[in-house]
Amino acid sequence: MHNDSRLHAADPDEWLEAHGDALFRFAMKHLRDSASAEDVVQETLLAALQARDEFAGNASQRTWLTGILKRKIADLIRKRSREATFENDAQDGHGDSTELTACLFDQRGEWVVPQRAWGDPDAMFEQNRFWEAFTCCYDGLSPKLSTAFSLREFSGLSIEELCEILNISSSNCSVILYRARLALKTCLESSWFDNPMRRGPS
Amino acid sequence: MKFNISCQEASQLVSQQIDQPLSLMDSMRLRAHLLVCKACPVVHRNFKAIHQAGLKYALRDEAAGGACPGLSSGAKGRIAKSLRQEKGSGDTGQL
Ligand SMILES: [Zn+2]
Repeated sequence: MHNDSRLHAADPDEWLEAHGDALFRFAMKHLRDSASAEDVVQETLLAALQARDEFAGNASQRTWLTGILKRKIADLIRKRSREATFENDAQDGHGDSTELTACLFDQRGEWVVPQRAWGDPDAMFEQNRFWEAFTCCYDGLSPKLSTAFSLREFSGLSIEELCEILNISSSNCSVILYRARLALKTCLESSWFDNPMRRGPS
Repeated sequence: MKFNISCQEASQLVSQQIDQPLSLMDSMRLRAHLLVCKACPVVHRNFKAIHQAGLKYALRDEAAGGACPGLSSGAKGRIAKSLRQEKGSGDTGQL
């Protein structure tokens, strides 16, 4: 993290050098497409350039730029959700949910397999292999699930904001997030928790 | 509406609760279910861990050999150029 307290020189080349890669990676986690991610990073830096007088020196430059980037990402997804219907299940492809719930629950809605505790999350987050598994599982989500999950969890949007951006009802929003979490949980359990290599001696 | 809910419904409420407060009725249903069910309290913790993981993942920088490299040099060049143009056109009066 950069700790510059102000944009003294407001040199755009410097922002690009110092923050471009991080902004790009943040955008990639939402959009999963490098051309779109490059575009939003460019728009972000241009917007930052125009608004540089508004930058309050008490926030870090990275935080300020990330805030602008979040808005640009949301704008892009909002626009896309209005062009193609987000609710269209036919576009989901594999890995989505109606089948997943059918595998996980019996007809009475009980879990088919026993649920196992994962242990201490903080210890888990220390492990690089956990993040490899998380990345892999997240990348496996359908675009619909990953878009909703990313806006909610990575950008930290409220459920109201999320529904508005995706142009869907609030209950639908909750269901999509539920499916995303269920898919991630299932994937993590098979790729990380069932893997005996995952921990050092314990 | 019935009071007793299935694990499927309970896990859905667990997820919903991460995003917004539940209605009083749903929150009572969920609490009652979590008291009698062995599996769902575990799922509750696991969903919360996924939520925390999501927050961390967003800001995680996998620069060191991670799956996602940064901007390509081509993209960097394009962006730098557009910034310089913008700066050149809007810079009157600064400094
Ligand atoms: Zn249960």
